[in-house]
Amino acid sequence: MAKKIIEVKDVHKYFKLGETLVHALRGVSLTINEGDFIFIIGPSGSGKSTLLHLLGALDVPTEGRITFEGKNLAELDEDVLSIIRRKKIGFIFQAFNLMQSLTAIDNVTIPLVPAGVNEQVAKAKAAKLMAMLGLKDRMQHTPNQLSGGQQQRVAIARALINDPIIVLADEPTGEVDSQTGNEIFDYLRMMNKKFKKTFVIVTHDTEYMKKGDKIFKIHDGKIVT
Amino acid sequence: MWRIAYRNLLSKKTRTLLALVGLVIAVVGVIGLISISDGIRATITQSLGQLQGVQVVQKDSLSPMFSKVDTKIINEIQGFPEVDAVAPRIFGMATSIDGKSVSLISGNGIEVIGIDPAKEGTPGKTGFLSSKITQGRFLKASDTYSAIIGKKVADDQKKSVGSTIEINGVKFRVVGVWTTGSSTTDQSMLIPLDAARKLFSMPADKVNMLTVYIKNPEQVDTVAKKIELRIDDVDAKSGTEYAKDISSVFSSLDLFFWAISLIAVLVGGVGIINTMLMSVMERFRDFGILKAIGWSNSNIMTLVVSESVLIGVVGGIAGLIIGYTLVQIARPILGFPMEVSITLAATVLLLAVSLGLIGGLYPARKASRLNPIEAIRYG
Repeated sequence: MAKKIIEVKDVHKYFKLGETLVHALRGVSLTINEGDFIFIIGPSGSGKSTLLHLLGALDVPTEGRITFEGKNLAELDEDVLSIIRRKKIGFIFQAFNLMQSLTAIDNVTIPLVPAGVNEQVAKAKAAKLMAMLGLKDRMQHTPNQLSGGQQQRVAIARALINDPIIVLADEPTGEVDSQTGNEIFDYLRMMNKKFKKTFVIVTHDTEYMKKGDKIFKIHDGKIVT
Repeated sequence: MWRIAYRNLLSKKTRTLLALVGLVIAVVGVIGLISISDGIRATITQSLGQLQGVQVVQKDSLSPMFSKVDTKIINEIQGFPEVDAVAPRIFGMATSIDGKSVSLISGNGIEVIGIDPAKEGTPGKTGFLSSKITQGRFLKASDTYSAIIGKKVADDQKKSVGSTIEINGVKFRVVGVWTTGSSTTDQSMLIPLDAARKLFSMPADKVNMLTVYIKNPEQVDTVAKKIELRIDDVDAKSGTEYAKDISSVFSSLDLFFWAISLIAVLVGGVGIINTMLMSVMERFRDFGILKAIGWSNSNIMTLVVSESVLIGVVGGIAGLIIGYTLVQIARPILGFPMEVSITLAATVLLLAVSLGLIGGLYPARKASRLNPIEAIRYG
């Protein structure tokens, strides 16, 4: 039986948008196991990004409970949460979100900086990962010298550099064309199969759904399938 | 961390440069002001260090100019076996030269010293003053309204041996020019004691100060103590001791200069805070990302503070180099004593780095406290 990584139980999330109180999640429950390749799909404003932020220990639920490897995230302080994010979780964002002042390889190694990993060791690890993602000749380029697909692959390498047990991706193909989008999913799938990494991918694009093992459809803050 | 900080600063060259310029101006300002103060202190200390023998002044007087000692103690001191000669002196300031008003504050004032040539004229022993004559001759006992002028006075007033110089409405004939190497004494003049007494309305039984020449220079301090012990209401000090006292007065001047410098430093500090705040606000999204990928609040604080400390270090070193160079260029042009001491250099560098550190703290705190979700979403 696969190891349980995250368990979400009857989670509600409220937040204020100006004067309005938004009920973003309304009793969400789901389980994520090791090696899963999961899609969370739904229209804009359905609550999928909010759920992803909760899964990534960036926020805590208003009601309900999320456990990460058995630990209740709501009971942990910010320092412990940052260590969990650093060691256990990889993040991929829609807009790549690379640091423009750094080269591709420096962007990849940046999660290792707080861990105090030796620069040479970090670079060697990053170079290996980047070569695997077809970025061997792009290591010294800055983000603005790379195409959208290349930038997202740099972001994938950054998400994997700390050898996390789970990678959370928020609309990873949102800013690339469909061919590049397919390539990105193929890379994610390769990492999932090759390294047994767990992936949770949020998308509103149904085109890629067939690539997933599990699909959670979310609508108005509730999982509907 | 440092490498990332360095890259971040390089990515916004103009803004970083502006912060550096602000800091460099502050550092150069501090170096300029303090080097002037240090220079003046060194010159005066050096001039006073040149003073021969023991200087006897009225007890607790602020300076020889404000002191009055009785001439009847001259014979008493002269009676000490260690004493070679006792030379009375009267000090005053020229308020007009050749009919034109002058003052020490505006830089063209002259200190006028009345001396007894018979007591100070023998080179080798009591002849310290006469040994500095570079043109003409020293004063003689028979001189009435003759004067020896300092080199700077000669240059400024275009006077030489044989010229007439009118001080406070009284005409003197220049018989010699002296060059001491000290900017303060080179801007002074020596006249006979009686002429000075009339010029500055000094009572017949008073002088401002006595210089006691000692047969064996090693006995200076012993004689000074002996004079203070035997004669009431006088302070007796060697030139070097006197210099020490004056030096302490300069500490107050330093404080004043540092206070002015503080304004320049504050401007530099505000520049750094402004730059770092703008830089942090532009990178909200970056900090959100860093938090999402596992950077803690303190990691982010360290990054931002590293950036501002780097500005401090580079600004400090650049300011030091520029300040030092400007002082070297300005010194001969202004003819003003300026010195950049190791202590000043180290203090200024430390100040610049501290400014970087303090200037970066508030923006760093702001960056570290960002909500990562909002920072990523709204950038």
